[in-house]
Amino acid sequence: MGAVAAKSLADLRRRRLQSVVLAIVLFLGAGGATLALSILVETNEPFDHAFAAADGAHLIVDYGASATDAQLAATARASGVTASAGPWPVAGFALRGKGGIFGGQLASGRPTPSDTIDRVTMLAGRWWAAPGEIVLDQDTATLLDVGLGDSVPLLPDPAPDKRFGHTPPGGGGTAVLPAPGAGAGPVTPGTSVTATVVGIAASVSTPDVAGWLSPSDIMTLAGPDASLDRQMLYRVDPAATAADLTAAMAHITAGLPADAVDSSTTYLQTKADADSTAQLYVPILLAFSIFALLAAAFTIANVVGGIVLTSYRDIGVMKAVGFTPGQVTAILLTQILVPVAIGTALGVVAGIVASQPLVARTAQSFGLPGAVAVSPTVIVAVMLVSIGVCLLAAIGPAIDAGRLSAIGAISRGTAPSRRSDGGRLRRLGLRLPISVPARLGVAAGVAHPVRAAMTLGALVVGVAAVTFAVGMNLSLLRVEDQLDRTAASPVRVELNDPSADQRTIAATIAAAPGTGRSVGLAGTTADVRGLGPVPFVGYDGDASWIGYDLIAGRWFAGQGEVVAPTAVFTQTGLHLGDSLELSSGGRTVTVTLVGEIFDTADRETDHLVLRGAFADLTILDPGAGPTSWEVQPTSGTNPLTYADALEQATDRAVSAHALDAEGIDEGFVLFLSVITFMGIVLVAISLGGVFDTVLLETKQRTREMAVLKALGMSPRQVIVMVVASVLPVALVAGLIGVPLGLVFQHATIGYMGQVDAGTRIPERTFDVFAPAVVVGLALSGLAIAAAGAYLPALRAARARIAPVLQAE
Amino acid sequence: MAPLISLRGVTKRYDDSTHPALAAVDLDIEAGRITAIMGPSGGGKSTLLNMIGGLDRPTQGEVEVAGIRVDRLSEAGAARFRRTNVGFVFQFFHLLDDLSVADNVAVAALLAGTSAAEARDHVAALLAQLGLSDKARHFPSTLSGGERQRVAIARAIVNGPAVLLADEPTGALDRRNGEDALALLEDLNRRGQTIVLVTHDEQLAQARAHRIVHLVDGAIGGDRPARMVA
Repeated sequence: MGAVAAKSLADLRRRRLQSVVLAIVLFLGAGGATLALSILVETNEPFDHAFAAADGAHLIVDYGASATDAQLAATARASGVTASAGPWPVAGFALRGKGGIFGGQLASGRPTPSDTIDRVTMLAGRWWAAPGEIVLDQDTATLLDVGLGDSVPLLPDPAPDKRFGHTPPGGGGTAVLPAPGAGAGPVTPGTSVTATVVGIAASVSTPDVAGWLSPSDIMTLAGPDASLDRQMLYRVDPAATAADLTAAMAHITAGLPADAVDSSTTYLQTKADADSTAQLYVPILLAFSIFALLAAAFTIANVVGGIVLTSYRDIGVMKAVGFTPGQVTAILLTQILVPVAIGTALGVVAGIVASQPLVARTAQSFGLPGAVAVSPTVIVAVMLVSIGVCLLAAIGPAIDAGRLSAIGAISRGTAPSRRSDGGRLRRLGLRLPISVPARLGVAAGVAHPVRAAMTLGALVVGVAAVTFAVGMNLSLLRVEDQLDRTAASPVRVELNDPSADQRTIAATIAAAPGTGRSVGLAGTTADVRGLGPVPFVGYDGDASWIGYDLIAGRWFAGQGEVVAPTAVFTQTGLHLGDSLELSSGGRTVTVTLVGEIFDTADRETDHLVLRGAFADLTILDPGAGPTSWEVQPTSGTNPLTYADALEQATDRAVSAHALDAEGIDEGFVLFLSVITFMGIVLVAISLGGVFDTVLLETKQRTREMAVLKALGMSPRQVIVMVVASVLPVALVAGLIGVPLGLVFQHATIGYMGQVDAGTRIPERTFDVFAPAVVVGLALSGLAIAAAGAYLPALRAARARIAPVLQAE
Repeated sequence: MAPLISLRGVTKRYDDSTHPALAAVDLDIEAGRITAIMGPSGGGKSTLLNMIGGLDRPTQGEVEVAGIRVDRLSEAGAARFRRTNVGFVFQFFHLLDDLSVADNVAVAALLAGTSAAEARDHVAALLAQLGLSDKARHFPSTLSGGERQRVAIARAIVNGPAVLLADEPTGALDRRNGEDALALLEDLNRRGQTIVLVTHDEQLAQARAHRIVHLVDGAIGGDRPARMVA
């Protein structure tokens, strides 16, 4: 073993506690970065893998009644089309499961899972073979809590547009589609069907299909007079860009009537939806990772500087016995890079393991097995960046140390400090009206500005991380509340029996025991210049209480006024007070935008929706009546009991369900967990930074502390002194870290709103901190600092005095 | 008269050494005298001083100082003991570089519970007594070796300790400064201060001490009155 290796090993053994903490800091930093990047890469790839494996469709087109079967068959031979499947009927329907009735679902009459394109993955069971059998999409099966062999009541979709009033946050939960014939008047009543679940499947190209069943069952559900949409899937070439797909669509529809296409989707849109998880997670995780690496860099710069400061005598002796400047630098760098490399390697492994649940979840959503996903690119990138950042932080002080002359280093290591007084801050610290140990600690803590700045950096990261994590959790929980509107409108009622008299139902609901407030609503689709077809939801009465948060303006006061989510304003360029003309079936109505509401609406409709008076709805759709109701029971009424009673009171003409105020989407919980976990990781990194810095500081001040102990400073007072040395910096860190965390919280929530639903965020979403919590967050720096400093302080308090005072 | 310091069967073993630093030492030291501890390097002189001052604990035996069983004290108890019962003067002064001369002295008084105002007055008087008034706001790095040792002595006596423990107090000083420091210690002794002095310097011990105790290989190899007493 060479001299450099031998000395490095000896130093590593001597500084093993510090090395372990350094390794832990890097373990956490690299682990966080790996987690973030793995999710970025691996949640993106499953769609591509699944799409390639299934020969996914580039275009999914639903055709209306105006195109004949022969014309549709001819589209398969259009220019650019390389393969096609279909047509088969599709229709909206509803499913009754253990959690109630789930309307707005899409049924597909696809005859086989293994077509030339978009092969459906059978996860369990088999494909349907006869009427009365259904293959459920895996998400739907989970939603309904049913499995193979279970019977599922399938219902006609009573109100295809009701989804506009009840979109789950983030667009998750139920699959929706623009229902055939939406906005074209009342749907012909169909008949319920009870089907047996014979298979569970997943389709890459048609993730919005809730169930595959026989065309005859679909016809039964839609009604004898219904004109069913027919779906066709296409692979085209070229298909790399949206422009390619638009051109292909033009070729495909060239020979069809102008109104033949009811709706169309491209694989790029589906991919974008699939990527939305990554889009939400990754900026946050990357921000956390950058924080983590910054904190690690601060810590390492501090540690290396500290090692040099505490090793002057050692460095002098090394040079005196013949070590070259390069060898001295190499020994110092080895002391840093060995724990850094070990910590980074372990962190990468841990990050990969931690990312697997989310990655597997994404893969499984496409019917892919949740195998362990490892990206070599991520591993190499994290290793290089982590070690590179540490090398950058360490190399300056290490080179400086190598350049010291032997005598210079020895004399700097043994001579008393030549600093006259340590600066004004230190003098101020000594005059504070606090106990002597605390005073001495505070003064020592501010005596080295550069080191204090490095500690400050690590602590700011910790405080900002705590603030960000707490703020994100509180804000996202509030977003969940704001979008669910559970507090204002906890009971949702859907018309179950299309033949029931809606006015009677409305009166029954209003008169039901426990009803506080209720309002009926119905939806249609209206054409808006510049936007195309937009869902319009009309409220049959005062709906100002139903809980939509206002971002700007006010709730609509009556006919001629509407409120809308941000997307309507951004996509039209309209402002509050502007008017817009809605038209449907040759009828028009002009409304004024009076409020911008926090409403993510529906991803399928580009997050567009207009909410206004029922009178305007009936102008657009004269036959419309309320198809669903929102109810606020009186105070003290149990919503669950109320909902059950209401179903009985209407002889089950309606299905009523109480929103679970405590129920949170599993993915949402996972998301919050990741944020919390990353916050904890950053706090741990920050804590490790303080630990290492204070450990070095106490080593450097060993003689001073031994003297003070000889003068009668008790172990407890030593602890107070050491902990106090980081408190001034911690206070400043609180003052910087909290605003920084809040800025990141605002930016991230704002970004998520834009990415997920194109919405601005109401101020109330951010107003989640009580003043006491803000103070607590500001003081969290003190807690982190105190916790990080405590063990080194304890060590200093327990250190023996005599050997230190005798050795010189 | 009962001795101020009493050691009975004091043995000290360090983990990394096969031989004890102190081997069953019995020693009584009277109040109001200068007792010199002499002997070769590694003989156990400083270890003995550390036992008396509560800086270290014996592996075996009893140490009693001013009626307090030092060997039985907890760490916190030993700290309280050191505040008021002993004062230390070290070979290398061990002043706190970041504190002014006045603060170096005051910190010992403040740790002993003296109020800030009282400590300030007391320190000022003490520095004046030792000819250091003009250096009160200076920092240790700007002082000569002799001045530093005087500051160290001021710090050691600021709380009026029962015993002053001086470990080679002239070891880092030139002859003139060493003489000055010893004269100061002698002066303190004349005013009743008990002093235990560790030194290599036979001449110094003979000239200044009342009693000379020789420690060889951790055991007492000689105990005799010094010349100045005779």
